[in-house]
Amino acid sequence: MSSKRSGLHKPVAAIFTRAVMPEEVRPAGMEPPVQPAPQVPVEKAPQPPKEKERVPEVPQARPQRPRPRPRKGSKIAQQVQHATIQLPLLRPGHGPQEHTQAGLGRLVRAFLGWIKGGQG
Amino acid sequence: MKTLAIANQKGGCGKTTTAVNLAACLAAGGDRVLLVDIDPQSHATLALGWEPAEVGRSMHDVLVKGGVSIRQVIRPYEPIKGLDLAPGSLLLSAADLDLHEVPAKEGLLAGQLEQLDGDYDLCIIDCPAHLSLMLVNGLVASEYLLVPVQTHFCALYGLKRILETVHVLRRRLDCCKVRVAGMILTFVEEKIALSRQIQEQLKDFFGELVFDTCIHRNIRLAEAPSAGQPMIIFDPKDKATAQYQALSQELRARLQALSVGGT
Repeated sequence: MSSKRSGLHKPVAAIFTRAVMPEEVRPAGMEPPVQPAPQVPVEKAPQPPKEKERVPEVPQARPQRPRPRPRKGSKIAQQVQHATIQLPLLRPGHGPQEHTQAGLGRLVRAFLGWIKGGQG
Repeated sequence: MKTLAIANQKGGCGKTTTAVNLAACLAAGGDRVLLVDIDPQSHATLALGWEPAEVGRSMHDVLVKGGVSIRQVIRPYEPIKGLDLAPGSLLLSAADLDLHEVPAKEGLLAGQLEQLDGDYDLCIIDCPAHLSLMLVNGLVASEYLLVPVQTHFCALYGLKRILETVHVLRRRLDCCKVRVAGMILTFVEEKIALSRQIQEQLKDFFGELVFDTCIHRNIRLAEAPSAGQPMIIFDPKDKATAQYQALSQELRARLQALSVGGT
């Protein structure tokens, strides 16, 4: 919006009232503006000297968890636990530990069939 | 020897014109006056008839190159007995870079002027407008500061800035003792409302710090440097000459009062 009024649109006092200025210039009765406290450098707490070369931590081997004891289950299950060692159907790398629970049923069925076959 | 810096952190407000014509009027009135030009524009040197690029040794040799004392660069202004000039140089514009590793670089000019104590009644230092090492040197070397204030709005902010600079320098540098001797209104136009209002309001706010004498807008003040002469030689009967003569008398009385009263 334009102004057609000629002259000063901001009073001189508005510029200088809050200005930082030497004491001899400041009009009598005018308080100096509140200035932020000067920033004093804060002394840092002494820190231990840095190691020249930081040796990377060697990851320690995890303590091996004790092997879970087989649950006590039915007599057949106990027999399966022992019998799998000698199972001819199991190939290396396909022992009972490698089998998932889903495969366990298949194993049991194979075992039972082997027993029945053996008996027959 | 009293030292007076003429400074305002706004360009084109009449610093050099005031420095040259005050120095000339005071010398014509019988004082021994040294005008020191530390403005890289070197217009004070130009206004007294020396071409800055051809002046030979200058304040650049004294303050930046070193190995040259201020006595070796001072030259008399022949038309007015008692007026000498320490010429400026365009090379002073790089002084901030050239001197950035020099210890106590703020007091280089003050150290040089100490050698001249007793040779002059008054040393007038024409300072640059921008906040630079040369401006700081001028303020540190001076006892008093005179601020020319153009009666335009932006010049008020230049005045505000230079007052802040003085305040900060006095707090941070023990060697800085400069105090504000006053403000002189320049480019005054009585018929212009803006000019009148600034004049009145500055006097209301700062009181006696604003000199009674004011310098009116006058094309002769712009013409005189082209002849390499101050107004008192260029056109002794012009109104501007009378105004600078009145200002020189008012300034002489004020500096006397300040040095005696210390207030």
